[in-house]
Amino acid sequence: MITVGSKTLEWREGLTVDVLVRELGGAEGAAFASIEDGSATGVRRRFVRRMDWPSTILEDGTKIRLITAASGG
Amino acid sequence: MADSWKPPVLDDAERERYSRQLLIPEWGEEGQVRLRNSTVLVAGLGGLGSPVCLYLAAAGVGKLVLCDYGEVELSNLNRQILYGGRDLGRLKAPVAATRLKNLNPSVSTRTITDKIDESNVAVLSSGVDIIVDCLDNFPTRLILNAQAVRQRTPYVHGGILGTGGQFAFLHPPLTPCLACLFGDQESYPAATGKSIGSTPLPVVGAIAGNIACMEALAVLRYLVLGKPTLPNRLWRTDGWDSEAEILDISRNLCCPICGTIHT
Repeated sequence: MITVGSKTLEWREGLTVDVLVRELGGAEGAAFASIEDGSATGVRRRFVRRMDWPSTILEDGTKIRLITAASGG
Repeated sequence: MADSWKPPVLDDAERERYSRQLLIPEWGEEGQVRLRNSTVLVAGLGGLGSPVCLYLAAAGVGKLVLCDYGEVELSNLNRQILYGGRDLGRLKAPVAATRLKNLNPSVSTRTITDKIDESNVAVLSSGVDIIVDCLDNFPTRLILNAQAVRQRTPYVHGGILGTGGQFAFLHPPLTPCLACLFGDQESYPAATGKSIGSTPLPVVGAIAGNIACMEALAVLRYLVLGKPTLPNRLWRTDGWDSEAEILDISRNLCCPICGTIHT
């Protein structure tokens, strides 16, 4: 299972961030993602740029937070 | 550096005003004089820019270049703490200059009420020691970032949304530039800073203060010590639940803005 915020999707081989956010939606305006990989390699957090989403393959158990943070207030 | 020359020591009033920060071992009078001789460009005088300016002025930065083309609106006042009800409808930059002068009369200011674009970015960034990004949109950020890279000036990035935000100190080739991280912003529907599409962006004032204080500290650390803050890291928080994380970031070696800078 992969989670993006409060949404979840069944994990499958070769799943990328790009495909995930397209299928789950909710990425409008997001500039980057904070990705917490699953237990297979131990928990680690990564910064993934929007431009790298199509090539960032996810492992099962990954948790993703999409981040916009564009405002200056 | 600031326009008016002062001797390279502090006077008695300065020693008193800055006495608590002078006690910090790495700071001292030398650091304070460096601060006094420094010029900082604060781009955007909203929720981030307000606390950044206040803390930099209070700390004794010599000159602040205050850049914002907007006017004070009622809906700004939950977070833009430079302004009050009597400032509604007035341009932010001159109001900010007056407020900062009242806070610390030794700080000089230059106000810019034009929108930052390709035609003026070099002039308004000229001679500054560091640039603080308190802007509300990525296209303008990327224009300012490109200028920072051209003149090899450090760029302190801050951004907020809702109850969260992020901060990073960027100075290629030591670190990525903003375009390395967010360079494709124009290729998809981006938040404008005021809204995503037609939906206004939520902002809690205290998170603006949180991220702004990180930015101000990074500026002070660079000016006093000459050291970057968290190079090659992006500090991110959701202030609502007090969660924070530090993410590794790296240069995009194909970056069209900083990719050719190696030394």
